[in-house]
Amino acid sequence: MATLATFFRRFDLAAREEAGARTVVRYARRNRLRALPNEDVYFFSKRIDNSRLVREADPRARGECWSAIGVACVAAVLLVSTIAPNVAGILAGYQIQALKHERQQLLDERKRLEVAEASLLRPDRLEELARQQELVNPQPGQVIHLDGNDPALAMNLKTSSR
Amino acid sequence: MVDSRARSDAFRRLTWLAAGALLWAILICAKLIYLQILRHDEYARMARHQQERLIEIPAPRGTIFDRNGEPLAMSVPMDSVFVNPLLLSDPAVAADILSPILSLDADQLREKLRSAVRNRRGFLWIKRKISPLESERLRSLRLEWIEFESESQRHYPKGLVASHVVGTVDHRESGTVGVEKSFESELRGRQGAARMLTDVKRRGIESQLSAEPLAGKSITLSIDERIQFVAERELVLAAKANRCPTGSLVVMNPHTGEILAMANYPRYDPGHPPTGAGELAARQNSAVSAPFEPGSVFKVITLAAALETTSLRPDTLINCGNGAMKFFGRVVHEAKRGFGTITMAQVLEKSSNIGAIQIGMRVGEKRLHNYVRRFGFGEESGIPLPAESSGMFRRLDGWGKTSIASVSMGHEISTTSVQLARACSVIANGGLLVKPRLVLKRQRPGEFAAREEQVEPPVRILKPETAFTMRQMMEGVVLRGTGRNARLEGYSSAGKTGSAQIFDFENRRYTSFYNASFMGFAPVTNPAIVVVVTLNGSREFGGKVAGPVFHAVASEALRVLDVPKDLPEDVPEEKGKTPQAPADLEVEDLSIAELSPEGPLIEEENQVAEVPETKPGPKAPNFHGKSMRAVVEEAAALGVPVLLDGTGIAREQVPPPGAALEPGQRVRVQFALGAGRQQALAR
Repeated sequence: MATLATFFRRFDLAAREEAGARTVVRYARRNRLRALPNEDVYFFSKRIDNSRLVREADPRARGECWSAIGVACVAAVLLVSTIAPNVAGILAGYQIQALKHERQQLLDERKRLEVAEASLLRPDRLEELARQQELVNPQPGQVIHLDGNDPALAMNLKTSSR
Repeated sequence: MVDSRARSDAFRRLTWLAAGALLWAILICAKLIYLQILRHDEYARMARHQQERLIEIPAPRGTIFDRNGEPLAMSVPMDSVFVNPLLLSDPAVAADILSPILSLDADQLREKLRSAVRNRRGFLWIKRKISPLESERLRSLRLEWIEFESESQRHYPKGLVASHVVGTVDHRESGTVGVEKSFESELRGRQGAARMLTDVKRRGIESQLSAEPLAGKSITLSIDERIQFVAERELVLAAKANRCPTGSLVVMNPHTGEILAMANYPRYDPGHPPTGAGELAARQNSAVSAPFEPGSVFKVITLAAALETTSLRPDTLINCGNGAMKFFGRVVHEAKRGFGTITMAQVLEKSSNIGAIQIGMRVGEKRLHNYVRRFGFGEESGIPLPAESSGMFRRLDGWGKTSIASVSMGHEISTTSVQLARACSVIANGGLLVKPRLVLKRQRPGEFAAREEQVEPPVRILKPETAFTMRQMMEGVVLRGTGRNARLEGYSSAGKTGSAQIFDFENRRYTSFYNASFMGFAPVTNPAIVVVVTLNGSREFGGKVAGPVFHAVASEALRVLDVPKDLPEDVPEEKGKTPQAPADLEVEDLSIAELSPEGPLIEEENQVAEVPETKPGPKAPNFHGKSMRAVVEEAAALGVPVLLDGTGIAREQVPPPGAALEPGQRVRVQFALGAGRQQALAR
């Protein structure tokens, strides 16, 4: 691990000065950064094996951890429960508007169909169709009113009367 | 020492940091205050404009139904297409896309779009009220620059049927004629509005109603579509066959005043806007707006007034002379020939002008005027249709010397077909004047109970016995008189024909064209319908022209209304020979309006027709020229019962002298003053 002094090559500068590169050194000194704290401290790395160390169990810290998780969950639930209705409302709003639109379309379609039906049942059209089918008005005497007393005539009676 | 200086530096830096943070917070707060308080309204408006859309909630125009619930007029929402030309990248491409789907000329559309772009117009209708198929095809393109707006389109699914009653609307869906106009405020309703919260793609999220829409009321008419159709069909056939320029027909329930059919000729298609003055004129509802001189049908009123106010009875003898009558220097003619002395019932059957005048004179000016008013002439009937005419009937002080004669036979008065139907209903329903009723109920969509229309109570203007007597006399017109063409199979019917000369206002004289009319009802005993037919500009008489129309319409209407038949049906005997052949019928019922200053004075004494003796037994004595006292003495001596009518000298008698008398049969003797005395009294 390098220290700040090695990083900025301060030791190189001192060595150059000793070597007589005065101009360069003077220039370097003029542009040199201000001394950093603990610049003169030199660190070196040393391999230490701590694998045999075991952390001491701290039940208080665990409790704090769980309580932090709990608080976070509660906060999340509160946040979701606060936002969720709005989100659901917006989604429902989309759905309601779509359904309203569909309902209006169906009502309009029904009206169009009613107009079409009424147009198809136009009396002049029906009369024309009847003419094409060679239907004619009954002549006087052709209409027989059934009174129910003549056994020779078939009657169209309601079945519920049985 | 060092620590305290460092702490001091740190504190100073912290103070600066805090001051900066505070300043930053103050600036934010200030900006917030500026945005949310000082300029709140402006930014709220801008936000609303961006996020909200004001939606108009259409209030559909009310539907018009016939009495059976068949829609006669209905509004259906249709899409209209528009674009913002400024958003179009290439108007030519847009025109190429739109024109084939909307069946528009591509070149014209291209030019329209380019012109709109040049003029910096941000809105351009492409086509309004497109069909559902066109709308679907356009929507499937999913092009953002094509926008739609819903507009209402009025449909008349029954086409020409009842077009004069229902009326029509203009391009803004405002009623222009008919029920569409008279009930405009109720049919139209009130448009609502809602604020729609939209997302960035202008899709609706939530809407808030800001004004409740109020749908137009649906109106149920008393018109029966089936009867209306037959009425129009028969009227058109008759008008074309007789080359009549106009005509009208009214079918009415005499008890309730409900108008079951109201037809006019010429007809028009309410679904298409008028293209010329002729089509505009065709939209006039002549049955309520075009008064005409009724002619002989008006004799019903004269005779009803006579039954009410004088001692005249259906079998009272009336001297109708030999076909002409001088009246204040003017001569009144019968249609063809004189009828001599006939009963009052026969005056109606034969439609004698002279007889009607004499009866009118017996009633007197004041009472005749009063009864004409009572029957509702000269005033609006109150039918809820625009431009109803009240007709024309002079005040009594405006009558001339010959007015009583003219009014008695249906001249110097103008009426509408509805007024005639109303008057005929009085006879048909037993003497009650009803108000014509066209609307049965009005109901707003969603309302649980419909609002039934108030029915005005009828007003009695005739005694029931008078009405019944008139019914019998009018039945005689159909059975034996000028209205035989109107006779129905299976139903008894009654009526009166009329043929009034049409006045030419340019030449100030009557023409040879007639208002040919028939006014009748059926069945006689309990009338279910009253039918009034008028064909204007006919060259034929009413019995011949309007009678068959009554026959066709009344037959169909009675069948539709399921009215039980009161007569046995006539089975056709021979093919090609109808029960009533018009050629051999006496249907001349012309009421001569032009009172010629020239003409012979018809003496009354020579008008008694000789009846051939056919039966043995007592004979009727000759009472002619005798005073009332002498007649009574002679009748008492011979044991012949007599019925005396009038004053003066015996002028007429029925049966005529020498005719065989049935056991108990009375001889009716009509007394009258001399001609000179009569004229003096008339003055």
